[in-house]
Amino acid sequence: MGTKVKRALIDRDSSRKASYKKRKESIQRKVLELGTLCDVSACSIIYGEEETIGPEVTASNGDALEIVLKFRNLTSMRQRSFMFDQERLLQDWISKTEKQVLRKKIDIREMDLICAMYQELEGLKPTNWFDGLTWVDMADILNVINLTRNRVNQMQEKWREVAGSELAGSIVGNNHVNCAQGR
Amino acid sequence: MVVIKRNGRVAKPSTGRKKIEIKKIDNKSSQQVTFSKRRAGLFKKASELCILCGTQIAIIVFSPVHKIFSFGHPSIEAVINRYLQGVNAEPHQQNMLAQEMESGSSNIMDTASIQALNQQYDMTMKALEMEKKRAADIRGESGMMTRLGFWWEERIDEETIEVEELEQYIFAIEDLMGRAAMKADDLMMRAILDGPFPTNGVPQNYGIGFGPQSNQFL
Repeated sequence: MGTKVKRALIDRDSSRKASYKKRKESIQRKVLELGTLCDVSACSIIYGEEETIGPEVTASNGDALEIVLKFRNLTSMRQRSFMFDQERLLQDWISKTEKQVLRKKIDIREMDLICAMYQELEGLKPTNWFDGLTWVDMADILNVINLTRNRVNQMQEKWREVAGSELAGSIVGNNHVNCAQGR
Repeated sequence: MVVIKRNGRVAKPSTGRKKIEIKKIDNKSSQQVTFSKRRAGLFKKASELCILCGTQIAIIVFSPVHKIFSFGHPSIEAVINRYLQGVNAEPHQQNMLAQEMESGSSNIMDTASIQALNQQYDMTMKALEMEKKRAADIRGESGMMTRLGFWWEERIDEETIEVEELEQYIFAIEDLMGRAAMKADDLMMRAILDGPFPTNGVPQNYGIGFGPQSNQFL
């Protein structure tokens, strides 16, 4: 079950039947789990390829017939609000994935900014590297620098505890002279 | 406008699978989260079963907040009708019903719109893979992230950093901050004078990132 299966009808009869059995049972199990875990009513009605057999019906917290009739009695609008078919499912997955792509792009941008900032700090870039940027870039850069500055402050606090009072320094007001004099 | 708020650490993904007991979840919000995830997974599996094995299926689920979700292949109505008609039917009648259903049902996956959507889905998934790879490259590549900024954090832990080094770093950060703030003010003034900032939701015109020339400064 490790390799990806193509989303198309399985050719070989035997494979298809085997797959049907496994997957059908999995779905039925999951319907029951969903019903129990979330305390909701749920049912599945599955028609296999064998035409003479009736449907395989599984239901949780209620009778399948009950659930189906309840569904039937809803207004058309309520039925449709969360009604899915293959097409709608695909559209749903596509929009979710697109959101993930956007989020990843934002992550990458953040990493680029941090790298750029550290490169500047280590003198690996000319100091006018942000001449070509927009103000949105600058706002983000300021955020990143600010966060780093806060971390540096925290580091300094921690370091002060470790190193003892004679090396105490202060970041407020850029009192570097005070730092050397051990204020 | 995209404003980056996090501190450079990528948000932790979910902690992974845990074996849980199958009994009612007490916490209301956990219940809702579980419901959403499992419902989506269930529909996905149902979709796969139908495509792979040529079956027909209807699933109806009531959510904890009384919304009703349904999935049906070829359509929920078709399957429900078949079910209701067949509830009291004899096997030979089942046969007839089945044959009624066959017409126009198994070809649903071949329609142009579904094909197009499938392609779009594949493309979007590929795009996601690409972005993930890029992110991993940036993080892993030459240990750029680790080498650049974090070495001095380690040294603080190890107590080997000198006062001067720390001072220097603080000074450099303050300096950078000052210059960046000045530049930001300047650009903002210009933006105000030039008119509203053009945007269509997704930021397009960044100097850093978001484009083929991303990492141009590296």
